[in-house]
Amino acid sequence: MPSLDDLARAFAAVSSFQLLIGLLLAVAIVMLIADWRVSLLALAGQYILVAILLSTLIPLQIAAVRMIAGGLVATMFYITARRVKGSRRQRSPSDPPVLEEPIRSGVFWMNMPFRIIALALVALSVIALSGQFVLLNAPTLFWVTGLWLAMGGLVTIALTRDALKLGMGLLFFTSGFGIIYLSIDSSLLVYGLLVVSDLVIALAVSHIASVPAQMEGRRRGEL
Amino acid sequence: MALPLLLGLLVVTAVGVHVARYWRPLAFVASVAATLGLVWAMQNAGASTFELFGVSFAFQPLSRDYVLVAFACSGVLAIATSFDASRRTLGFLYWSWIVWLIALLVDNFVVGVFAWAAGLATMVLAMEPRRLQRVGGAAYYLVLIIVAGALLLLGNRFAQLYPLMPDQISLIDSAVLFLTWGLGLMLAAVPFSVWLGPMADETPPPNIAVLLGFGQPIGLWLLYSLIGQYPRLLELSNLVTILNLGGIAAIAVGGVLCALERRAGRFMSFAALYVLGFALLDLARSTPEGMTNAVLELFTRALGLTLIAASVTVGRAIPNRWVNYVAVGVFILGALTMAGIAPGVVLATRWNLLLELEATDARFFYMTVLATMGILIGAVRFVMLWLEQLEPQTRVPSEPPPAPSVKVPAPLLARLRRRAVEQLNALGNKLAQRFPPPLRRGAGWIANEWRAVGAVALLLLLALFVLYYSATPNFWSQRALESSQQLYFLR
Repeated sequence: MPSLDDLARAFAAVSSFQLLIGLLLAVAIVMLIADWRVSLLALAGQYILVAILLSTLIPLQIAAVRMIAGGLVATMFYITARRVKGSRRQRSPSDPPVLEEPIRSGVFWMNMPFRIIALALVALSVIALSGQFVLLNAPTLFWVTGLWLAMGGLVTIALTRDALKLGMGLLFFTSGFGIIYLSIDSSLLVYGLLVVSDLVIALAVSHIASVPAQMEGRRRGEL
Repeated sequence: MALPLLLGLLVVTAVGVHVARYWRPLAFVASVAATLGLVWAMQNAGASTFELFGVSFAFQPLSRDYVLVAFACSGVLAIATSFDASRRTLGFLYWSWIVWLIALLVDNFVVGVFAWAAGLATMVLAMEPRRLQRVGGAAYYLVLIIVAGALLLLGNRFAQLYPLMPDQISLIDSAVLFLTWGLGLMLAAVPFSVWLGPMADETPPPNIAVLLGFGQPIGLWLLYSLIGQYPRLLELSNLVTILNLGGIAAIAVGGVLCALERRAGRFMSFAALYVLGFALLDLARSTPEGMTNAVLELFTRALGLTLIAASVTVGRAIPNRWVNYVAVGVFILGALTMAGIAPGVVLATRWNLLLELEATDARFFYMTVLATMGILIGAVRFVMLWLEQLEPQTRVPSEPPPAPSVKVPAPLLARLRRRAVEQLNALGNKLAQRFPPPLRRGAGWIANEWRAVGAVALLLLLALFVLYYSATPNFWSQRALESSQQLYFLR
């Protein structure tokens, strides 16, 4: 069984450049690819990369807590997605239609070229912003990766119409914010609360994604 | 009662009510017991400080009053919800209070913000998305809570750094920018109020009342506790101007949106926005009287929302016409309370502010009067729609139960239960013979219509309490003034 030292050696083997590329890819995958399995893998990968990044700021044991939380979050999302999306696929055409059946439409509001342009604009904004302004003298690597994750998460939220994808965007945002905040104030209290908030967010998103929809037609002037 | 014990009681209450929701009589009994138990516990809550991991928790006089009223109103809304066929959200009227209580007790802004946001996020679990798996008001509200929480933490960090670098005034400006942005999002101040409508579409009225009436003002509490720690936030920034502008905009936009609205949830949300405007204007005065009036406005806002939510919930749950007429009356009282026209304490505070507005800028005075008209127009439109939907009830003759074709012997337990019920009925009939026939008929009617009678009694009691609250303005003003002056962060 690998020990904490093995984990430390594995983390140390990852260079800053590799981290940056990894996080770049993670955001790009969640923003561009509609498939929930691939996005979930990117989310899990993002948690590992962020834990590696944070291990340079805080003790490894504490940074690893974020990885564990990421594992729990990914499990929650996986179970929800399997339940909701899996059950829809298993229904045969002869089954009676269900009232809550969602409108068959894509995960995103916009098509792929638009999303690629949005991703490029986010990248451009991060490069421009990090070149001109640094929040409270945060280290450049943390500032850039934090901005990238937070802005990528927010744009994902704006582009998607799927609740689970929105949750992933939100978790990217909290990861980015966590990196920025911990680089200007390495408070373990805030770190712990951020980890807890990730779990609360995952719980709420899983609920929103799986709860039965309201009956339509009871909206206007309902009593 | 010690604070950990109070928190424990709150957890037990939330679990109990949440579990009891499956069976209506049990849900009703649990809601009544929870209301009485929590109000009693709050009245006996100790003022001593409780320490945990270096963070201290204590009740301030104002927070104690606030939580007392909040528990009472949440209880009333829980009882009203227990009459409904759908009681899924019953427990969520209490779940959030576990963390909101921490936000009110704690002396640490960071923990307070996390606790406040966690309570708001818990409320998201009570929301019902309009489309399966799709993002809507609930999902966007969750996003907003997280983004606003992050902004508040950044604002706090800037405020923390300023005493270390007092020559850098820009730190204060940045702190105020992030705090305004974060609180503006959470409080739905204009122009950040766009989330109110979609959120209201997916939230049951009792939860809207608790969320907006009691959950939102905790943010102002946290802001003022932060200002108490760093008074320079108020002295060196234009926070007062921001509060003034935010207040004026909230009144105007809230009034206009209410006038155009016919949906209960949205009407409640926009009316809450309108009253928030008055509270912000009162806070902007930066005087003890201004703080007192703001406190009274926020209490009145919560009571008005409770009245509206309880009446709408009862109206939806019980179709009897006479129950709905009572509910309409209570709704009107709630709308008048929100508009500031109900006689008493809210009228006094509003009048005070209106006089000041008229003296300083008559345009704002006329705009406020027009916005009040908007609330009234919205309330009248909703009531007219409600009355239109009250069609005459047609009595469906009850069919006799079909006789069993084959006699099957009932199980032993069922036979014993039937015997016990028969014995009880016989005893009841025997006792009833001793009372005059009109009294017997009345008791029989109440037994048949217990839900309707209970719901009307609840609404009338709530209305009477609000009238009592409103009719003793001096008492409440004095109480609010004393409480405000005792706040450690305002000294």
